[in-house]
Amino acid sequence: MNWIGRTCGYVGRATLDFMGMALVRAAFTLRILTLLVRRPADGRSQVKRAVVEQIYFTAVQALPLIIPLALLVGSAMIIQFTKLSGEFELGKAAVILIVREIGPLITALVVILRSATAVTAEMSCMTVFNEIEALEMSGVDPMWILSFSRFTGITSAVVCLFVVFDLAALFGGQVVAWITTTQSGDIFIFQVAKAISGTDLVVSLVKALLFGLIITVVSLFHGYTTVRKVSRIPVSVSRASVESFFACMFVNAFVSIVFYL
Amino acid sequence: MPMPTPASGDSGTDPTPVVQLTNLSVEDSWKGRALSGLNLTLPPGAAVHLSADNPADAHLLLRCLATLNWPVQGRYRFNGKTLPFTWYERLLPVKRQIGYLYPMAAMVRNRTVEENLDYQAHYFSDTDLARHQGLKESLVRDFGIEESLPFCPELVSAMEQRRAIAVRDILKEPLLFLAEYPEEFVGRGFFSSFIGEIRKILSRGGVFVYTTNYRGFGKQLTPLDLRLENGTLVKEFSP
Repeated sequence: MNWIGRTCGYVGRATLDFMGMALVRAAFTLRILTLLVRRPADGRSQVKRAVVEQIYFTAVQALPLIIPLALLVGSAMIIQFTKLSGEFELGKAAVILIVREIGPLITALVVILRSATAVTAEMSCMTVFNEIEALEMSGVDPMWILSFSRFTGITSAVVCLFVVFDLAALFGGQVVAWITTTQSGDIFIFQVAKAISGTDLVVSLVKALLFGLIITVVSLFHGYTTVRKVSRIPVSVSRASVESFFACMFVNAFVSIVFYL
Repeated sequence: MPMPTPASGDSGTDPTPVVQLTNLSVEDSWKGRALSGLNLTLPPGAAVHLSADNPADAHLLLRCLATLNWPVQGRYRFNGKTLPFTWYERLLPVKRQIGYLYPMAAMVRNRTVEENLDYQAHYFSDTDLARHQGLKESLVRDFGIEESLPFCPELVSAMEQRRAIAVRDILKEPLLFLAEYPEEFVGRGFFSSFIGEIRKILSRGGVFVYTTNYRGFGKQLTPLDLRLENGTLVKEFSP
C-alpha cells in the first residue's frame, strides 16, 4: 500500500505545483492588463515607440516567412484532401483544417520560434545585467515600458499574421485546386465562402488573441524570473518556448471543444 | 544603541531628515547577509562615509537605502514620508529621487548613451526638457563623454560607460546620492568635477552616502563616518 501513498503524494504535489505556476502567471497577466485600464500618463511616447517596434519585428519581418509557409501548407492540405475526398467539398475541408485549426497554430508556432525566444532572451539579459534595475532606479516602470508594449505589440502581430496566413493558405489551396482538379477556377473559393461561418471567424480570432497573450506573458515571465546567471538565459528561453507551445496547443483544443463539440 | 545622527548645521528649526531608519532589518538571501537594528537619521546636506567589516554589508545597506532591497522589519522614512514596501510601483517616485552608483550599475544596452541619459527626462511628462538639456551638455563636457553619446554602451570603453552612468545619476538631481567606490566610476581625472557635483547636491539639501578606498575623498567633503560591524551600525565618528 506504500506505493499508493507515494503515487498520491506525487500527484498531489504535481497538482499543487501546476496550480501555483498557473496562479503566478495569471497574476502577472492581471498586472499587465491592469495597465491597459490605468494607462499611466508618463512614458507614453516610449511605449508607443516600443509597440510599433514590436509589431514591426513580430509581424512585418515575419511576412517573408509566413507567406511561403502558408502557401505550402495550403497547397499540401488541398493535395491530400483531393486524394481523400475525390474533389468533393474541398472548400469545407480548407475551412475546417486551415481557418479553424492549422492557421492559428502555425502562426503561433512561427511567433514562438521568432519572437517569443527573442523576447525571453532580451528580457533575461536585461534582468541578468541589471538593466531592469537601472530603469527602476530612474523611476521608470518596467511593467509599463517593457511588458505592456511587448504585450500589445505581439498580441496585435499574432492576430494580423493569422489573417495573412489564412489568406495565403487559401490562395495556395485555390491555385492547387485549379491546377490539379477538374473544377473550374472559382469553385474552390465559392465553396470556402459557403462553408465559412461567423463562428469560424470569431473562434479563429479568439484563438489568435489568446495565443498572442499566452506567448507574451510566458516569454516576459521567464525573462523577468531568470536567475542572475548568464548560463540561465538559454534555460529560460527553452522553457518559455516549450511552455508557450504547449499552452497554445492546450488552449487551441479547449476553444475548439467549447465552440464545436 | 545610540542613533547615529550627524549635526544638521541648522541652528533654528530642525529640518525634515532626508533619511530616517528606525529599528530596520534587511536581508540578502543570495549572499546570506543580514543587517539588523539599524537606526539612522541623515539631515539635509549630510555627507556620510560608510565603512564595514564586510563590504557586502555596506553594499546591502546602500541597496536598502536605494529601496532595491526591501527591509524585513522596521521603518524607513524618506524626506518625511514612511516608505510603503508593499508594492514596487509606489517606490518608483522615491527611486526617481535617488542616485546610486554601484559596481553592477548598468545602462540599457539597446539604446545609445545619449538616449540613456535622456531616458528619464523623456519618460516623465513633468520634466523641464530645456533645463535637462543644458545640464546634460554641461555634465557631458565636464566628464568627457561627448564622443560616446551616439554609441551603444557596449561600444564605448568601460571607463566612459561608468562616467556616463555617473552623469546619468547626477542628471536626476537626486535628493539622496549613494555611491560605492565612486573613484572607480569617474577616475582621478574627473574626480574634481564629481566632487563639485556632490557639493551642489549637498548645497541643495541632498544627502551623499558613499563607500570608498580613496583616502583623499574625506578631505574634500568632511563627512560623518558610519561603521557597520557584525551586521549593525556600531560607531559614529564626528567630522
